[in-house]
Amino acid sequence: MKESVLRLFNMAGDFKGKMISSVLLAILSVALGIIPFFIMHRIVVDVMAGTTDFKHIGLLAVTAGICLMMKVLTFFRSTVLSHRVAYRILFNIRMSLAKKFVDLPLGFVNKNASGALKKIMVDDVEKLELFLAHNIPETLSSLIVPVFIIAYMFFLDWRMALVLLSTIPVSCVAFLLMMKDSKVKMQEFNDATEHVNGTIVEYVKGMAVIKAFNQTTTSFEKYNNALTGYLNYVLEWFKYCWPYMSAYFVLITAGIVVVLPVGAYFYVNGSLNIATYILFMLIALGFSKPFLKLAEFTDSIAMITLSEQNINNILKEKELHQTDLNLTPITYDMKFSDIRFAYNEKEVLHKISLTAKQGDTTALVGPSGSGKSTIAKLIARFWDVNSGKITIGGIDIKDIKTESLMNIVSFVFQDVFLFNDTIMENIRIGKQGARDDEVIQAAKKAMCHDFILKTERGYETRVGTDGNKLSGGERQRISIARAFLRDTPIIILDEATSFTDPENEDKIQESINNLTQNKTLIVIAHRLSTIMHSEKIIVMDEGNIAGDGTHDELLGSSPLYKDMWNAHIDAMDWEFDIEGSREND
Amino acid sequence: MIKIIKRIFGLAGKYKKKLYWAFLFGFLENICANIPVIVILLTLNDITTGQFFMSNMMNRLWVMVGALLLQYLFNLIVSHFQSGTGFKIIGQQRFKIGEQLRRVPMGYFSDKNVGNISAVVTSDLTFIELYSMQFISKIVNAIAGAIIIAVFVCFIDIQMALITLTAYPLAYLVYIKIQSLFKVFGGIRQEAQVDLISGVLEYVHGLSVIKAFNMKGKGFKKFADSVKRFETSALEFEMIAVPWLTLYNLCFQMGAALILYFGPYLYFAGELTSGKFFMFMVIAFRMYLPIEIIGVLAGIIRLMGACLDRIDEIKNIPLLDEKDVDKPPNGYDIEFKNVSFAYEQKDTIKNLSFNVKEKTITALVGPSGSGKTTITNLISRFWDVQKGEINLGGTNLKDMKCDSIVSHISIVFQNVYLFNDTILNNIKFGKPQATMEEVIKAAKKAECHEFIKKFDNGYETMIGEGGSTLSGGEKQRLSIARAILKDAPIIILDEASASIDPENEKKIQQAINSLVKNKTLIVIAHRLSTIRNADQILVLADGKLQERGTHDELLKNHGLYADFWQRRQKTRDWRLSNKNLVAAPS
Repeated sequence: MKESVLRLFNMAGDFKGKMISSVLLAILSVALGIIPFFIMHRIVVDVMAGTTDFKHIGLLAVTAGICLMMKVLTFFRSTVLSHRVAYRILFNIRMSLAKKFVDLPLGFVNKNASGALKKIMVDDVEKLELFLAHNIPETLSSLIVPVFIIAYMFFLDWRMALVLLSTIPVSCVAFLLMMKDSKVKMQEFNDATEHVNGTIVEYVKGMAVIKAFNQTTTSFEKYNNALTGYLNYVLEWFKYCWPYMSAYFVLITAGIVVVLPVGAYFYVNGSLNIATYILFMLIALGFSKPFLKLAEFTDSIAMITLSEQNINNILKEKELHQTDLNLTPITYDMKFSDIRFAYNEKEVLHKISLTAKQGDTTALVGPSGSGKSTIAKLIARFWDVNSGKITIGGIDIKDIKTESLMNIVSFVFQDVFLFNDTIMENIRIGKQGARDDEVIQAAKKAMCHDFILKTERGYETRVGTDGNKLSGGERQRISIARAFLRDTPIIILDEATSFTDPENEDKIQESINNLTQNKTLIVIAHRLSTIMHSEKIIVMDEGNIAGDGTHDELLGSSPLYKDMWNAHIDAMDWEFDIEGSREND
Repeated sequence: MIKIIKRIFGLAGKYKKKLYWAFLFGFLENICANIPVIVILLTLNDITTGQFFMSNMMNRLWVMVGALLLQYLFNLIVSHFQSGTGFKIIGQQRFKIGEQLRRVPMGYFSDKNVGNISAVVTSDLTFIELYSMQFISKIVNAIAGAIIIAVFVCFIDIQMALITLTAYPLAYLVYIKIQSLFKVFGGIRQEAQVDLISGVLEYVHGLSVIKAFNMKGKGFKKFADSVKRFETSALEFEMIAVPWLTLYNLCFQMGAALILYFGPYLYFAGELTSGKFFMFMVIAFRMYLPIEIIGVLAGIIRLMGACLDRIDEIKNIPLLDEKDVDKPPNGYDIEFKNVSFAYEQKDTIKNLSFNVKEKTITALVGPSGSGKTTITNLISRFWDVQKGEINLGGTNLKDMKCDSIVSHISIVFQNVYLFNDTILNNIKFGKPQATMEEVIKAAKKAECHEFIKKFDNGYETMIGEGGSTLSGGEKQRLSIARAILKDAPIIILDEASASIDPENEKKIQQAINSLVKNKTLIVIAHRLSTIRNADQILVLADGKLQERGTHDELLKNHGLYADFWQRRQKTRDWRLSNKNLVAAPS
């Protein structure tokens, strides 16, 4: 918790001075709010002593009034400053997160659902605002000033000061009892909330299935259980807390109950003068306020710490190793030597070695989970390998700057991301600074030109968020256009690409063949017929290489490949049948 | 402010009574909390008038101790009626909204709306759940406290009371101004927030592109702009509100200053007894404490109002299924009679008529956007038709309950949605009361049993986040098992278009054939080869029926279907090649 606050303070950057001023002003404000108490005390004492000088009393009253006004105005100033600081810190945190995301292995981003990253970047950061803008100045000031007051009260009459503070230990006991295991319980509560929210979101997202299978909120057991369980948990916790919480809030204000009679006793036996007695009574009335603030503060601190830790966990995540060498390959043979790799603990590639020759088509095939997509991701340095070495033209890809690597390798993957921008700009991403006619040229080669012209504003048409105005196939072809514009010597292709839009499959196929002309091509293949003419087919099975060679060689040498091929041929000729499949008859 | 309380009461339903009790005891608690102040005032009075005796003090001590105990008791009672109630009220709302969403036309659940709904049912409901009760009790306490003190002040001295109470109307005017500012400028912050979220999402989603295409600079700038805009707007909003909130507070400080000044003034003028004078001196600092809180709450009132607005929006989505009739179908023939349907102003189905006979295969074919999926959604009554009618076994769908309609239909979606739950529960979705044997039988038919058995926990294996991951093909087969278990007479199947590895594909095909055996099958076909023996193929384009017939008939027609078929034959024989292009071998 202490580290969290320190880290946040560091995030203030140039605004640290403002933050300190804000706290100082807040302290001043609280102090200004207390002075009138003493003035009022003075008035009471003077009047009791029988003064008749209204000028003197009036002046005191005016001073108190000014203090009160100043209290509000300094607090205003403090709030303005603290908000400026708070929002600057939020800005800085968001920017550091964004920078960090770029430097992390891409796999990290892909592993964490984008929703989770958004939650941290938007919601968790947002939560800090209340803490920074309000809690810090207000809590600090309402803690520091009472300390001075207490010191003064001890100076005036230590016995009465002790009496005044006497209820505090008791209420602290209540508070501690309430907070017992609060960290664990807070975590549990957060988990429970998340579980409920997750279940509801799942319910909404899965609505088509819910409807199709006639589930109701009560019959959908998971929904029902999550909600009921959560409610019970919360109520249990509350039931536990209530008595202590009530005790805390009641006792913390109860100082007066002790001050009054004990003070009276001292007063009557002559060891306490009337002025001090009255002052203690007055202070006792206003004394509890900072402690109430403190209780609110402990409430929010648990939440804030959690959010801050989420943020910090990302900021301290290990970045992709960046080289100082900056070598650039001139030839493009690709070689995997003894690669081992694990996403988490479980190894998914077991010491594999393979080569892909420049100018050849190398196809990766295998059942799902065999590791073929992982290989492609490692070439892109979505992740770094655990051991072994990947080289292009003899140079370890770790010694190639990410920028240079990306100038050699293009990826055409299944999921295409389009920015909320014009079609022109979305293609131009392939090569920054490309001229409009270059973009159009690439679009033509990728068979995009026709459908682009059919849109409302041609190349200037904006694609909606996530590009949802275009069909899957159209988006595919835009990503192929990007790759055309990029014109890298090596292309990595996920063949499933060609299947997402059956109506336009022929166009996608044609543009892919255009794109890959005379390139070094690595394909993650699903339909074996597509790659049967490749120079080299590598058969993957559970993280090992189960065979390699040409189609004809593999039919003879690899039983796995042969099975896959037969299944593929069978599947191609399958038909729907409601009369019971013929083989079964 | 009162309006917000009323709205929260509106949500409370059967818990309303509890809240009233909580109010009552909150008021009583407040009175008890003020007793020490009164005791101090009396004591001051005694001291100045020379009536101060120890015996009086002891009596007062007991009064205060009594008040303290009562305060504790009342506080407990308030908690009892109130604290958990917020959670209960919202819990009840979660069920209610969930149930309501089921009756919303499926078309409403676009990605954007799903995002909105999720935000409302998670953040907004949680916010209200956590803070509404605290908030109501704070407001009630503030108002009660203000009233108690105002009445008390009037009793002591009406002249001073008039002076002290001037702060209220002034503050009230400022408060009205604050509320209207929040209303006007709250939108700015809201917009900036939305802008920030979409900026963050675009950045996170686009990271792979940003990295792959080396566009750190540009992608980053766009993101930085939206973050910066948020900082500016949010600050602007605060800066507009804070001066007025300060002014609100200033009204009360001024009130206190007036008391401090006029108290001695009137005392010296002989219009105030010394006892009353001391009382006012003490009251000056107590008087406005409760009502000052309302200023602090202004921000929360705004947020809560916005939350309630969004919740209401969801509750006001028009529902299907309002009629209270439920006629049974007579058989399972499906008939479209001059059906037209538009979604978001765009016609997706235009004057469509066709029949589907029981226990036949009907295939829907056409380019994307031609209306294939819309037709299947209309059959399941996920939407209502705008013109014409759809009959199931001779009964108009609109005369049947949505629940009864889908009870006759099993749907296998292209994008399989599995719940973050055990495999067993995911299959059982098809028939919640199914026995284990039935589940296993369905899983076997859907070619799932084998791979399920391989998991350590078998059918109890959790899938999804934090559980085992399944391949695309395995998910497909689970969804088929689900449909087999349901065993409805009509099957709607959206053929998967994403490619799956060949082994899986074969198993899926076997699973599908056991699912559709002896059923009425309506299939959205992507690969024409699979529907060669369909009883009828409906060829759609732009929401209109272009051709209709069997595979052989349509080929002879030389129309759209024949063209599709030709092109499909070509793509089927496509070979990837990075060598100088040659025509695909035939």
